[in-house]
Amino acid sequence: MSSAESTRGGRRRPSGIIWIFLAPAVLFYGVFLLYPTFNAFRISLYRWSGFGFENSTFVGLDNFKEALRDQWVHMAFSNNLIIMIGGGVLLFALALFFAVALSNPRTRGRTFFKTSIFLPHIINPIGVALLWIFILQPRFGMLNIFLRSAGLEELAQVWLGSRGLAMAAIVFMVVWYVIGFYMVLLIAGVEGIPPDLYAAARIDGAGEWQVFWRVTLPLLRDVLVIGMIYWMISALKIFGEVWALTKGQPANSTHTIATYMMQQALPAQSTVFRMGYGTAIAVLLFVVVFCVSLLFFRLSRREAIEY
Amino acid sequence: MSQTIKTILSVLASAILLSCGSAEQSQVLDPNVTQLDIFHFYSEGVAIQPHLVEQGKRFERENPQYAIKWTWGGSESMQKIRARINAGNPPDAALTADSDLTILARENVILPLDQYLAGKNYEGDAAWRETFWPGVLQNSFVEDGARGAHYYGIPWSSHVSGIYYNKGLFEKNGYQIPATWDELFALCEEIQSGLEIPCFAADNFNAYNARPHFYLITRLLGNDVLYDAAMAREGTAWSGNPGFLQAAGMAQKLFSRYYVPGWEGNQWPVGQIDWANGGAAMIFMPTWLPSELFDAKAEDFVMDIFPVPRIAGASGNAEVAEIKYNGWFIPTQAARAEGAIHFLKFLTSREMQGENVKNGAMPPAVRGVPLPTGVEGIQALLEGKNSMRFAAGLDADAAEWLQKVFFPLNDQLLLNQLTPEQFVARLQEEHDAFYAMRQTQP
Repeated sequence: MSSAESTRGGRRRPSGIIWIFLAPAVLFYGVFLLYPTFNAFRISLYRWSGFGFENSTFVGLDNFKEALRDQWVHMAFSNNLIIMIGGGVLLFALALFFAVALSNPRTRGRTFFKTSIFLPHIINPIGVALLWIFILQPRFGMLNIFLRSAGLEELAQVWLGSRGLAMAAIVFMVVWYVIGFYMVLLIAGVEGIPPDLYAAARIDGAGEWQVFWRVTLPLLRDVLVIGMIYWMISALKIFGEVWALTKGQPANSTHTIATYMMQQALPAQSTVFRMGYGTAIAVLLFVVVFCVSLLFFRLSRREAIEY
Repeated sequence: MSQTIKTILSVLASAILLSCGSAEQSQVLDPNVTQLDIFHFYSEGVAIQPHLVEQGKRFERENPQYAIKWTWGGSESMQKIRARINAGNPPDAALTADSDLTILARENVILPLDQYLAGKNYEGDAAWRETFWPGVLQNSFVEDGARGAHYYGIPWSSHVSGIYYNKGLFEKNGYQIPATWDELFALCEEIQSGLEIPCFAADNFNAYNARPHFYLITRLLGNDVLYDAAMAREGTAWSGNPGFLQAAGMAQKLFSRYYVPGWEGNQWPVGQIDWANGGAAMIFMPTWLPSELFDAKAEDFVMDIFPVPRIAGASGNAEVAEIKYNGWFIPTQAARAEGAIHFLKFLTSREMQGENVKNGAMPPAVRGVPLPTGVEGIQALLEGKNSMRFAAGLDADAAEWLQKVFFPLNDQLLLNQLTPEQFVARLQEEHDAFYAMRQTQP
């Protein structure tokens, strides 16, 4: 036995060399994640413009009280929920459909479809939003031109002109943008299911629909749970796509928590300098994301399936 | 320590040391050359940006003791500047809008510049301060700056808001510039019925679309009424004045009848590009529009600007126009303030300001430079005659109020989601709630 594999009480004890390998990652994690996170909690207790912390004033929980009463925070959070739930239903329904269809060896052109569906995901979200700004433009945008030329004039809309349509546009754009990622995740899950189980189900007389409901879907549960948690966190934190597409407009009605936080703490189109308040909103977002993730993990806990 | 661990530690240490040496540091600079770190809020690719790089090179040739290192900040510039100021690594000079500059002066992160302005200009033929348009320079005076009442900014470009119009279209159809709002509405009726194009183009940009409403308030009620009402923590500033109801009604009429249908779905800059390609007759915009459209307008498109009309019979200010500048500041921790000032004198020399006019249609900040074609008429405003700050100064003093109270309600008014009466009532309500919330904070 070498010195690096010494044991105590019959268990292997990590050798010193492990810490050397871990050190860069731990250092990176501490400096760029743990410290800023704890610092954000501290800043959220201050009224601070963002210039020179010595000019800040301790206000206790006032920023949180204000955030909880702020109508625009409520509006922004409800928009996050619309994206999370509305987008989630659409996203997983479509991703599951594509995953099952494109895992089937009898489907022709699988590689082409997989690549095409995944393609938007490799574009920067800001670029995606800029593309959609021109697609959705009411007068010369591609969507309305298509609808008019197809004789569907009455369906042409001012897509980003009201909260309802703008939120629908955001949900659709985000689903279009991320579906490739979730499809690949689910394809990995579908292809990991042993073919014997499908064969056994068919021998027992199950049709395609029954195979999907009774075999594929239950055995995809773990992958789906991971995908849903990831989606929920992404939907709660969503920023770039919304910021670039609507900047929270019209009438502040399409802000998400992250874009509203940005507007308060980090001025881009205004001179609002409220770093303390914006950070309090960020802390609230962190708490919500943490609680939702915890709840979902607990609800989905069960015995692992072994094939 | 085993040989393996020593080897790993050596490799790690080497990697860290290598990563610490940046590419910039590895550049060999003449020890007699001072590198000036200059931050500009333009993005790379803006029409005038390559010409600024050329101006920097010319400065280096004329002043071999200096080298210019540009940083192009883009649309999120203020965040980048703030991070650098907090990190103790600010640029030597940076460019921003005058409203930002006022706040930076209050936060004690930028230097008063009176002593430099009292010195000679780059040409050496006048006091630097005397070279600027007075109407522009006055916006850099911050009464309540942390270091006292001083000039904190160096104007670089001047901007006045007004109504841009398609000059070719006006000339071809014999349209006259409207002098009153009644004439403006009549002209819009004529354009829309005769040419079947919308009278006004717009993007869904709340600050831009509040501008006609601000002007209406000023024309109806006078210069300070809007500012005073917005800053009043108590009382019935909004609901107690019938002038606000009239202004709201006129603003709603303008947008609902004479703006391009679907303007609310235009994300900047598609609306203004649409206008510059013949999509509408006019657009409410400041004089930075020609530089933004420098490469984006139709080849035969000629634009011109006229002042926002007066309101016949109104007792407010019939002539006043908004004026602002984009200008330079020197952070308090700037390492090379003197060198930066010398470069700013160069950038505000008549020749360089003339280059900006030629290459980017940028209205100059200094006198003695011909104004860009189409904005010659703003000279009186640049002289400081009857001008006011953009948004009556609220973008510097009450930016959060604008974002949370006025802009959302104004959007709803312009989109016919609120009647003028509902708008004024809601404005009073939201205004009171806004200040009530502020009172909970020390």
